[in-house]
Amino acid sequence: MNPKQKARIYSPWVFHAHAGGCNNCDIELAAALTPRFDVERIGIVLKNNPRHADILLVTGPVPKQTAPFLKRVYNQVPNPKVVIVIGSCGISGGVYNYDDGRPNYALAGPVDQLIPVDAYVPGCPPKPEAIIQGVVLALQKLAEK
Amino acid sequence: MVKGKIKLLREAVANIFKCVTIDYPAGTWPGTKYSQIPPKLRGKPKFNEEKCIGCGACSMSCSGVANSYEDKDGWRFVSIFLGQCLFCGRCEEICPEEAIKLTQEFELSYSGPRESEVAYVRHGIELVLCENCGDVIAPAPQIARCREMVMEKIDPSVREIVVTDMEKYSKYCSKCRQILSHKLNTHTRKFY
Repeated sequence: MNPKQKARIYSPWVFHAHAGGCNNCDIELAAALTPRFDVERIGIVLKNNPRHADILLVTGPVPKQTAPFLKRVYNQVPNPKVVIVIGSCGISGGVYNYDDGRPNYALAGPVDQLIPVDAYVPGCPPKPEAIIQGVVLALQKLAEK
Repeated sequence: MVKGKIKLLREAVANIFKCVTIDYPAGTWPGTKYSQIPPKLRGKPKFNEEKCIGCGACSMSCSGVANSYEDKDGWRFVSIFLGQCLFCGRCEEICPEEAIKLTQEFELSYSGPRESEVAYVRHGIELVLCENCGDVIAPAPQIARCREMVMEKIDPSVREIVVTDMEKYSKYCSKCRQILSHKLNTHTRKFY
């Protein structure tokens, strides 16, 4: 492992992309970044610019209006990058699906139909600890890239 | 601004010997010495395979569309997709046999394909098929449980007739029971 890659894995900077949804996963994500859970002990720092980030955290079911923005944000993140989907909405549509399982007409589909995804964190919303575990799982993927 | 900074400094000095950060796998709260997971946390659902009768009540009550079952080759496969599950605990509430429980397991993240096998909770129950037409009657444990419940509540005067009838018609599906009721002599006219 070269020093550049080692540095990347020891301090992954994350960018949070909110793509629709009920905002509950975003609240849990904000809780995960507080000193109580102290993600900086594994080097995670929240950045407000996708160009500085290594990891893209996506929440929400991606409405059709948000889809181009999400693609643009994904293209702005420098390589190598990993994408983590947080919450049931981004994985399958979640509560936004119809009762018989059909996808909603207003959604551009789950996140993996738009951009390649490396890790999924199921939950509605997931616990902050679960989000931390998802990021650690994604770091193993980042180490391989 | 200076006032705010003084307030912040005071807060920092007051909390200088306190530790806010908690251990990773769980949290602490007042009254507990060590970090622990909340006892009523709703995490990954789990089937008790001995208790489950395969009635499908959990699939009917599921508030998402995560819990579903399909009948295939004489087996009923109940499956829960965690990517759709809301962890609301309705299936646990509705289950008549208390066979499904939400555990405290919350580390569910997975990598790879979206619908990978890791994201599913599955359980298979053997079905009873109709001897006449081959349709599905019900899962075998459900029929046994229903028989038990009937035996508990039945009037002793008609007990013998019911037991003999039940042995005859429990091999057939509801449609074939109507067709064969004369042949098997299971019609309810005996009772009145």
